[in-house]
Amino acid sequence: MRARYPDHEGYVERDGVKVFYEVFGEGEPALLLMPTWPIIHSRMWKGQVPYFARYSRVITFDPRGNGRSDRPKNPLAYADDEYVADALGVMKAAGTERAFVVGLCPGVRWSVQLAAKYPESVLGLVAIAPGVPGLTPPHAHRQQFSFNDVLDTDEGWAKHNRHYMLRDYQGYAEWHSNWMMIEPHSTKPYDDLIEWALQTNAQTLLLTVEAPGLSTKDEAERVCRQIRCPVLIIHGDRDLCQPHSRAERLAELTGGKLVTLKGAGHGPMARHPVAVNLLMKDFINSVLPPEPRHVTWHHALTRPKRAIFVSSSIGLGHIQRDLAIARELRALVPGLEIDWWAQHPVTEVLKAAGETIHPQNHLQALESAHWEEEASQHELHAFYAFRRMDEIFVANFMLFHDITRETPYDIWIGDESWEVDYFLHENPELKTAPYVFLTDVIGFLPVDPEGDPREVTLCADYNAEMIEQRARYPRLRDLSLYIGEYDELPDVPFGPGLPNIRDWARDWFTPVGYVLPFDPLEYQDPAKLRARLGYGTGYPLLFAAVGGTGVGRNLLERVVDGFALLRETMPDARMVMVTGPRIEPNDLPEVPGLEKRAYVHNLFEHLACADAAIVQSGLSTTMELVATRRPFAYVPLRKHWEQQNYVTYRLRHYGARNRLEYADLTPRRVAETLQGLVGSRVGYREVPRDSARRAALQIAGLLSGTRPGTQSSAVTRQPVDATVRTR
Amino acid sequence: MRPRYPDQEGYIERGGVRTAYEIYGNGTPTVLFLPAWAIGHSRFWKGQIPYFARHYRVITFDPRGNGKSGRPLDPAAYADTEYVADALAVMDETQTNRAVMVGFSMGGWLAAILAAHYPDRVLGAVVTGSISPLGQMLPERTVNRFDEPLEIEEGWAKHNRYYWRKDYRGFLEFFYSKMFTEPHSTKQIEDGVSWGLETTPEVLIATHDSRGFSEYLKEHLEEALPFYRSIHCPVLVIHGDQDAIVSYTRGIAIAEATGAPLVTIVGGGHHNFGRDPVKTNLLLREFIDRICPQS
Repeated sequence: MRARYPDHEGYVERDGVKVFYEVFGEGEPALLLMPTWPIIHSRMWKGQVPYFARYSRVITFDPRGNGRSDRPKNPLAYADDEYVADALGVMKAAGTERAFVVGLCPGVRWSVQLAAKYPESVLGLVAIAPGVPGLTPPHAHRQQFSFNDVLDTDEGWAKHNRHYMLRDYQGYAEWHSNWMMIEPHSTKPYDDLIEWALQTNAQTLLLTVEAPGLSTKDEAERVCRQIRCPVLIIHGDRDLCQPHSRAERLAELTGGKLVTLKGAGHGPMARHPVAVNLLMKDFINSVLPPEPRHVTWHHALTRPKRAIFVSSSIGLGHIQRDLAIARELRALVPGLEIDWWAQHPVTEVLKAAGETIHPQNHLQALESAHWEEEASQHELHAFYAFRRMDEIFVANFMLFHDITRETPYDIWIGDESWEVDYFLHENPELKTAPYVFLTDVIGFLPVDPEGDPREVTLCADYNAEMIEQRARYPRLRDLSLYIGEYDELPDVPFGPGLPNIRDWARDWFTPVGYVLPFDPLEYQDPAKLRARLGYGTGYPLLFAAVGGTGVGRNLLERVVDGFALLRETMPDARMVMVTGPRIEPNDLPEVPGLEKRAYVHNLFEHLACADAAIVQSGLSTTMELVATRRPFAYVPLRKHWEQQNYVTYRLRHYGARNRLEYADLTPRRVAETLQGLVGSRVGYREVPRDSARRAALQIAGLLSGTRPGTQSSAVTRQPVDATVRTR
Repeated sequence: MRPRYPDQEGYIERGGVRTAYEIYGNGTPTVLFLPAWAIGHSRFWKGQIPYFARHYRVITFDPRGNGKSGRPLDPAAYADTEYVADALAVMDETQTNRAVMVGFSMGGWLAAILAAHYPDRVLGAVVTGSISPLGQMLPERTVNRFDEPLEIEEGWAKHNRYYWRKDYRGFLEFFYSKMFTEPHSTKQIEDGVSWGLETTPEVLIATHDSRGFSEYLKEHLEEALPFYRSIHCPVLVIHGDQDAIVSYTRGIAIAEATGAPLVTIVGGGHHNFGRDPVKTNLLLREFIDRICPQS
């Protein structure tokens, strides 16, 4: 799903050609994000839209030839003048008279004409990889082969050829996307480019090549010289489409400012979204400074100690351990104020705990909605779903950047704060506070190594990128805490040619043990607990649970059938089924002895008196069962890398081995498993009870300047008399 | 030694009183750092000059009564309107058509007069810890009379012409410790005392006895608000909420009257540019770049 959906959308029709546009947000100054060559469409701006729409109105439109715009059959319909007229038409339809205009490649060619001919409509121009032919000669590699002739090769730039495009458009799209994203670890933007390219075809693109437009040097220079508005030019020095000299020439002709991105290719807004967003924002602010506001700045010594705690919202498990760590941290650092940065439904837990949630928290793009949309059957492909969060991550990082600029926190703590961690490594200059990263999972492992070689390659690439990021910026994280011990990690390589996960973790993480949100010693007597919770005794009490998303519905349905079967041999058995907030209990079948509940407060207390449980392999629930020494079976989501690999490794380490595969999970299997579990003895390893404190001690060291485990030596002497004697 | 020496220095002379100015850098716009009370001089701005000289053109001048400027003993020479005239004369002498005015304490008041009465010379005004007829006087400053011999010599009782003559250094130490209420301000306080010692109690008494526009407005308070409202250039108000010389309420009132943004320095004292130079430099830089965008 997208990080931000339009508030308004529509079509502009001119001469029978419909052009689709979208409008996001409100307020001045408006931002018009121009389309580019129709091999891609308006989603190219997905890294920009959510950020700028928070400040003012953003308008995008699909180019004629791709997206939801028409694909006319006449080359004249693709003339520069038509794109310029489309831009004006879209602005008019959106009720916008003036806008900052941002273009990429031919989007710049259209934008300079727009700015030159309609100066009253353009407040400023951002030209990314300006594709204004005529300004300077093209790259030498682009002049090697004829576009129109039949060639005897289709290697390299020979692919940029009419006949090759018609013969193998998919190959052309792959080749084109490949050099656009020349930077390493660009697989996701590359996939996006392919997806968009396949929404049009070679015939349409060939029409655009024949269309009339700005081409001669004289014409190009004349148009650029006419521009009166402020201009920002952004150009990657490894851009294989447009030579850097064109950016330099455009800067000379317009008096604009040129920013060269070293190492960047032809799509910096997609590959370096944070850097490009901040450059654009600075430019807009320099042209039209925002209204100044009253601000309060705390003289440094008068500041309370403040932390921002980012708690990942994928599942509810993390927040319990984060609250446990926060409690210990407050005990170690008196006066510490914690602002929480989290999403629904985690925020509900925080509100119930009386915690302070950052006031701008609700502006985040929702991760949990994304996961629900990704989930189907019992087959959430967690890695692919994670990977498709790229645009949510950019949007939420930009927001995190804004709020940490406003409040100088003493420390940033992130529990699986993926977006913060990734983009800080991509933009290390944006780190302005000590930063702690916590995680219970290190790296991605493929769930289908035999059947899906692409997944193997992608997981390895993501792992390699993380390993390179850590090696390049080791001090970016002041602490990397692993929630567990090293031998709870998979003892396998990160991927072909990559280090062993456990070995690497020894170099780059400090283990703090698995963090429980409660003390297991208080839950040793199931009979007493059953009495307290009103379950009574004298019958087998079973539990089934699937965590907080809607993904577990199919599992629960099978468990219901299995429980009905079990009742034939164990007629007094009762089962409590916890469906979670997103599965309606009434949608599941009614069976005697089955009690369905959407939510159970402190579920671990209930699980702690179960005679047996069957659960999805969420880490928190399974580890709570281990800690309270209950017999249970777990069913990993089939394509969930963490449940398939990491949770299983960890549970095996603790001696919990009853793993069931969803594919084999017949009602009979469920019944037999539960029957076998009831009354069985467990031989689990003990879960440590001091892990939250171990984590807090590490973090407190950063706040109080002392090593973990020692008390801070606060200044206790009286302040000197304010009057200074100078005699 | 200083981190940055002036590129040019000179004097203007008005009514037989010389005023010494210094120019640093040659960028645009010109930033005129105004003098405060003659208890100190242009070295108050030592934390600003090197930074702003790299980006703009900086002018400072010593107030009549201290530094390299003259020290008349006639109270009339120290009216606020005389300082305003000195500022304009320095601008004329240095071919400065317009400037960004920056002032703290009495200098904030001078900046307001310049902005209100000479709008074509002022690009914008930044005032910190500014004196003003608006807002309240600190309660502890209302207790003792300046002109009567007092029994006590503690606290603001030192703000007294007889005490000044008796123990001038003692007054300077007291006053500067009130200027910098932030802990760990010993260097700032010592600097201030040494600058105060470059003039005499008789000069300060003359400045105290002066009558200018400020005294006029105190007697015609109903004109104070219209005066501030007549300012049309961009204004930024900075005030420490622990200012022990000029009440924070004055900063709030100036911001309200001019519609300017107020930056509150929580825990900050009277001379924010002296005690929190990095933060205030960045605020001033942002202000200047906003009103005079750099290409």
